[in-house]
Amino acid sequence: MLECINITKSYMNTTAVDHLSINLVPGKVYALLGSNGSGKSTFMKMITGLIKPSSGTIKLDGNEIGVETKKHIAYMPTESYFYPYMTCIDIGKYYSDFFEDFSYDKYMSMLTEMNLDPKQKASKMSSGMLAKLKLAVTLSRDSEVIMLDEPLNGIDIIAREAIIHAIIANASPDKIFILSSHLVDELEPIIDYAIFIKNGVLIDHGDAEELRELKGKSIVDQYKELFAY
Amino acid sequence: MFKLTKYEFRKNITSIIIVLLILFASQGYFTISFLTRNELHAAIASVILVIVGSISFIVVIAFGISAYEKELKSKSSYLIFMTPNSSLKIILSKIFYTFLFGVLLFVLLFAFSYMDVRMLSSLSETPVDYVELLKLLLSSFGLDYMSIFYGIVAGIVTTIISILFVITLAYFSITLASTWLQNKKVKGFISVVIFFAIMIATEWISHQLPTIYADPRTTFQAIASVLPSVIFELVISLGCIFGSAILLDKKVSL
Repeated sequence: MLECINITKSYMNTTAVDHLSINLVPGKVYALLGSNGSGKSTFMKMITGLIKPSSGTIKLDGNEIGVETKKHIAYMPTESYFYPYMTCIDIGKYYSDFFEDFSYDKYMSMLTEMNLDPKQKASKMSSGMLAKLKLAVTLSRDSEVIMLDEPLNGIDIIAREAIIHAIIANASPDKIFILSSHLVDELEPIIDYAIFIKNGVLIDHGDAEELRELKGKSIVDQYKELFAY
Repeated sequence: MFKLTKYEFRKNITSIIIVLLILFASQGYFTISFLTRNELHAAIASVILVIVGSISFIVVIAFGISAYEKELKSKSSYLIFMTPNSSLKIILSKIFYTFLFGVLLFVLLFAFSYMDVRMLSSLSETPVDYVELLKLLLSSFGLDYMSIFYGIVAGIVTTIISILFVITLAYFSITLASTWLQNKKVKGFISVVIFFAIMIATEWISHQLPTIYADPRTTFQAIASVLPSVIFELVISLGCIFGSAILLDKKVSL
């Protein structure tokens, strides 16, 4: 279980995440929903250990975020984060060297499925190709927590379908899947749990089906209602 | 840590190749000038070799420091800090990479020097015994072989510690500036200010340390006289390594 206990991240003049507490359990696909700058990426980076909370604690199976938890957390950032020299093959070898749960074979077959040339450099790729590459390398890890930050950003409709298909194929009862997006309509069909974040504050969260029943609205409509103003 | 070091080399391979190419070109220039018996060019080439050889060590240190600075400000830092490696391991791998690159250059320059001396000695009609020549030179200064050997070893060790001190202090300054200023552009300038402030303070304290031999007369006395400041530099270096690792673990957000 991933426990986020009263976490806050403040920069000099702004608070990116404000006293956020939530527990995430395996077997569910969670959607972090919020407009740009709402704190979704900061929240994910804190779980990954890339950003340190100003206060509060994050624990995975009772262990605070650190070297040990990094073995079990796969994170796909929005940015391109590969070294300029890296081809798809280099990236696969890098992940093989550092992550025990990484499957090189799965990675290569995902590259093929996504029509990516293994010899192509990441730095020469279009944004759509890069998104698919990041997804392939992240989903090739058999991690307990998988986080995809804005996986559908800047992606054409065909590639979106491929990405959503890959997400569905990789969700399993022993994994905590966290997706962030402001393209809620694309994610609505595949999510189990919605987490609404506005200005770093958790404003609502719950089981997607229960939220729909309780409010009589789709997640998309609830999102519009919460973030319209 | 070796895997991390391997990727440090791979990341910086272009810079490494450029440095090596410049060294090989300088040596090639000397060799061709020598073989074509062009004394003027051979003299110019030997001066270039000495200058390039000396500068290359400064370049290695600069590369080692800039690699860390770039890592902290670019998004590629995610690639390394997402891996299950402690910050201490990551820092040590960068220091180890710089050390290995320095050793590689040292070995290369030593091989070049040996080759050049052999070429020069071939000019002489009677074979020159350089060992005898060195012994003669040393005895004229009242020095013996072994004391020179210990002196060289001590010189190498103190040089390595001084280089380690500069690199680790730079790492600590960069990390400290990143802790306070995160994504602010001014953090580069602030890290330079921190670096020189700590450097000056360390030098000042180093001069206050007790003197073992005020006027060293033997090699051993000379080595002993620098020992307190060398140990002090080593302690500061270790402090900087652990300090940087703790800041990266607890405070720095990428």
